[in-house]
Amino acid sequence: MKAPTSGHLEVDELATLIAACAAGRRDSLRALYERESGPMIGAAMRIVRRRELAEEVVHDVFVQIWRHAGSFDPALGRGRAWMFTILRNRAISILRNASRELPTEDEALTLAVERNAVTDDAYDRLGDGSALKRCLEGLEPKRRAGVLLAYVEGLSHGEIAARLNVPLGTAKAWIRRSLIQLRECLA
Amino acid sequence: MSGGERNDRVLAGEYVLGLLEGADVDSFERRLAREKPLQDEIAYWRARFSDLDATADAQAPSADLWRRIETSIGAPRAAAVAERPGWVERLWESLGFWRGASFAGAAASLMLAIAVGLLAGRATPQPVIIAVLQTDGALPGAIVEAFGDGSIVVVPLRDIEVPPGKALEVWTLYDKQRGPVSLGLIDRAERARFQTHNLPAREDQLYEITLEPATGSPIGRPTGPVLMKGLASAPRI
Repeated sequence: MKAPTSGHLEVDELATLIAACAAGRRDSLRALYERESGPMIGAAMRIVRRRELAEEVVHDVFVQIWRHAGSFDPALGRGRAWMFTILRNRAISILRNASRELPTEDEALTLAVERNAVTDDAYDRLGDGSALKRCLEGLEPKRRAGVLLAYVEGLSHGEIAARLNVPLGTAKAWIRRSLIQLRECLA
Repeated sequence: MSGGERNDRVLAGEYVLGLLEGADVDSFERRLAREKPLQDEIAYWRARFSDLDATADAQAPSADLWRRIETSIGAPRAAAVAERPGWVERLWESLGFWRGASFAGAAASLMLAIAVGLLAGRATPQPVIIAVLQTDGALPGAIVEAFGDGSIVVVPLRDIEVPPGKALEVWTLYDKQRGPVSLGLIDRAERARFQTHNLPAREDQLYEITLEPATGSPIGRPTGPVLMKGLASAPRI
């Protein structure tokens, strides 16, 4: 398990490596891969569920990092957040694109998903220093779950409503109000 | 705070969460392209939610995953940005950027904001050098303009047939020892911009376009036929 870090004061090593990728340094892409491919597969699994799809996502992400490293702007965020943005977009694309249900071979994971254990786990693992954790704590548990299901599992409004067993309009309103509350708390 | 601002904050949050879908994504991204406060709002939510990225169990990649990535990246290349109207929508689809996946509903992207932010508000700069590429038959085929900020704009002057599974690769040769360096790929004959870093752009530097596999030359040097080439000159302004 990887300990969550916020680390806003440390040097953004990943940003440096991404900049080197933009200059055509393959060894820097390899270094990014060494450091982040494991956590990325784990994060992709939470969205696409299946191991081979998660690896497909990570494959695509590293290809995109290589091709678009030049568009990374450290002024707009840290290297890791940039990489995981690409990861979530790609994973959610695959999830939304799959007209069928994505079955998982792993029964334990299916059960964990059904009990919202995946998102609970993500929430529990947020570091104590995380402002996000502190502010999520202030949300009513089901509303908190709505936000987490969107970010961690990549669910749509409709899927969140089904998972929380509430009408679609309620799920949408909960998330909107949660975002307002989070924004005020995080400031 | 006005209701509009509050609404934008929520919209930006929903965008980052991946909850906007269909037409909402399109209209949000059109505004995102122009409005710096929205771009900042995206960056804000991205940074806050990123704490959750590190909460998954790391899983060791398969032994061949890196090899597959290496194969896919093929030739070194920069991002090509089509600059026709509506390029924002196509940016992500160009060159199979989101290959095999629809754009709708999954477009939450700080990268978009960055790309857009870099292009928006840029004054019209003068190129450092210009090359007119000529075809085999000595017809003008394309203009290459290299700018002081490392960006290079390629403007084709005629249609070029690109067979399925192929792409046009733009190269420059500034050092015979080093050999041709790929500037990037274009999937059809249309205006494209490439961002380069510390790449020379001098008079008499060779630029050329070759036909290559869709993912670029697999060996980092031109493999396909040279469709057009030309030497750079500095504009006399």
